[in-house]
Amino acid sequence: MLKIEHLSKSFGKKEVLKDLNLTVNDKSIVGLVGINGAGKSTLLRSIAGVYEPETGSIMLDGRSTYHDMETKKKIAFVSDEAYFPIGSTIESLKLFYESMYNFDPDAFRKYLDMFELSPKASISTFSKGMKRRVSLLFALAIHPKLLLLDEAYDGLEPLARLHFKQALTDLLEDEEVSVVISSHSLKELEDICDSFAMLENGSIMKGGDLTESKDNINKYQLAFTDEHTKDDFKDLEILQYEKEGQVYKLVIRGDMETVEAKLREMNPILLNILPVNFEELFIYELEKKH
Amino acid sequence: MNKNYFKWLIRSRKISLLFFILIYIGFQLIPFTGFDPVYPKDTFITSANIGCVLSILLTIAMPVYLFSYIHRKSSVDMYFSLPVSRKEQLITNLFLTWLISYGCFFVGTTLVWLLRARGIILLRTFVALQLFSVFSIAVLTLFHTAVYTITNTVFDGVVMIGAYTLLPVIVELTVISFLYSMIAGRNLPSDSLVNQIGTLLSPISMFFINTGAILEPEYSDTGFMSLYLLPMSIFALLSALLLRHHFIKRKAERAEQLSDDILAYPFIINVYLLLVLLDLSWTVVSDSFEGLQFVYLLLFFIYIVASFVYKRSIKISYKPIVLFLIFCIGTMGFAKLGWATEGFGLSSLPYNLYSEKYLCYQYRADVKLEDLSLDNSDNYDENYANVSFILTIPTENKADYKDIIEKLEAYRKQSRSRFYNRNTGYSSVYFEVYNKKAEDDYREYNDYSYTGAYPFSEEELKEISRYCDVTVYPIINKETGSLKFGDLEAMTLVDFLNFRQVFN
Repeated sequence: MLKIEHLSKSFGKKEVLKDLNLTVNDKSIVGLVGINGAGKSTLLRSIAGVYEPETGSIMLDGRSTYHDMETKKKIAFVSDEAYFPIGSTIESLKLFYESMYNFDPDAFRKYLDMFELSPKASISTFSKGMKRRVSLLFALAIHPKLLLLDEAYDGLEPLARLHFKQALTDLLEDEEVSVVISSHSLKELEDICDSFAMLENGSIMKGGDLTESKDNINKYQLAFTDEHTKDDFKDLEILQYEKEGQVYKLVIRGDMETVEAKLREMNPILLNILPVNFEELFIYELEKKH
Repeated sequence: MNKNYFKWLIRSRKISLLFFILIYIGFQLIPFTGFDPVYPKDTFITSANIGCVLSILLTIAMPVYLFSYIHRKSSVDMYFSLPVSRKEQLITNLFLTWLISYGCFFVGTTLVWLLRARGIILLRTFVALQLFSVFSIAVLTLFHTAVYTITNTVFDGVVMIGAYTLLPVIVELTVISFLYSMIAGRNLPSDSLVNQIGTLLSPISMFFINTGAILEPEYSDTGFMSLYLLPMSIFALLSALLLRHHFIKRKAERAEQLSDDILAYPFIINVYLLLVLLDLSWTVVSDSFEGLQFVYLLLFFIYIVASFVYKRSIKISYKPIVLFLIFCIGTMGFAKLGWATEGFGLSSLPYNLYSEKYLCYQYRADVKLEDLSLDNSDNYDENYANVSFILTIPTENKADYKDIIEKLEAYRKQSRSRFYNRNTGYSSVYFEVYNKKAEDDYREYNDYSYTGAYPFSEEELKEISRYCDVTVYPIINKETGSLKFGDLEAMTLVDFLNFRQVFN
């Protein structure tokens, strides 16, 4: 289990992470979302042990991810800016991962085939997507306990995304691994994440089980014979209010059945309930905050 | 040290390392092509000297090669997230740098020694060379790596290594300029550490000087300087402390940022400026100086350009301009104070006259043919005479020379006063007092030299000629009567006086 408590990190005078707390359970995939500059990459780098926490702690199974080298061995970090030494090939990088991590040659071969990569080609000739595949290949081949993926889908074409999602699912089925993924593609995250953490201004604004959170926010489409104002819905937690003629479109937080019962008391001539997706959830939460 | 990391470094860089090694050994074996059986020792010495230079270059190139990852955002992520602690990464990289830099030196010198010089270079000398090189290359490895890690980009790292390597030379020049321009007689004994300040600030110089002393003690002024082991150890210690701060405790986010650490550009730019301004101010205060404004303006532009390089921006702010002006005024004030106090009192320090076996007085002046007490420095188109003498006194017989020593010391005191009251214009008179270990020794100790002294009168020269040869060399630039250009050769004082009488 990954446990982050009261984590702070500043760049000069700018405090990028502020008293951040986050827990990631085993066998869980957490989607890390937030606007640009929210602190997603800084958080992932801190977890990976690139940045030393200024205050607070980051523990994987009770051991520091910055100071404990055995713990670092269990972490695979795929940075948003992939780095490969000049002239390196997949074979030469294999040497590196064999020397440093618990490298699994069978898994390596399996993912090499899956990502359709040539082991002898120079990585510098690869496209951005191919380089991303190389990074993922090695991250998966070391059987990490914690997999950190910064902008995981960046540069990957649809088939590669599919393969990657499949690989993640396989990994979670077989091993006690936790995954933290940051991405701007919330639709992609929704497919694989079971929980999420929404970062804003360096702290977790909202987080938890993704399905539960989505269930708790719904879109309601209503029509009335008589005129209503926003005040008529003041007993409900309205995240978005929109009126077109006699049709009202509301996004409301709260238990769906309770909200529905309250709305029915207002005698609507039409009441449709639609679920929200992860992207909408993100937008509504962010809009409400501002 | 981390064994796995070390193995990976070797395996992943084997081609480039092999390239370094082959080039190194190839260069070291070059003296073989000019092997002279009459001087077999020279082959080994040249080869060892080439090895020293190449090892120094490797202690610069290898840290740039191995530590560059800390200067790139993308590579920092990879290396700092490795399950290898920063301390282990540092020690492993340092060890590899030292191993390649010294290993090549060892292989090269051993090959040459075994093949060509075993009978000539004693085993003791060979072992001493190796031991000192082991230590020096370790110090240089630490020092260059520490300087490289002060910065935040590869370019700045290379610039800093260059700047810190050159800094002792600039310090030395400033000190020499101070001694020559501000202190009458450069009044410092040979063994003063001030004379060695540039060397003591440069591990490279200390490495070279001591290596030279091991290989060719007969040509070494000082012999092997055990004293250098102390500053070199201090360099190693300071470098280790810097590396702790700039590598082990390094903030990964520094990569690709401005190199604004106090020891990087802010220090180097301002220290260089200060030293050059001091140099200039010594010259300005001690001598009339033409084109002063142009030099200061040029320096100002260089300073501003250096600030642009540091800030990566061509925005001019008031800060460097104000700092430049403060430095100009400060250095000029300091130099004026130095001149007013006759070199901060250093010119009045007691002389070290009899520390060696011989005391020597040397005199040289361009004077008028018709009167040897008149300086000719302002008229070299006319006929004139060059008068010179070297009076060598065995210190054990100094009592026999008591009178002349007293006179020459009085002359020296006058020369000192004239040095600080130069309203008489330029003087061609050069007067020097020094010690020697042997009569035929070319090296000079406790060397005090005076410019701007007055020329000796003919009576004084006659008295001096009782103790040593006084040579007069008439220079004929204009044909006068029977005197033709190039007619005359150097002659003794008596001969000259006779010749002049006849000529007149």
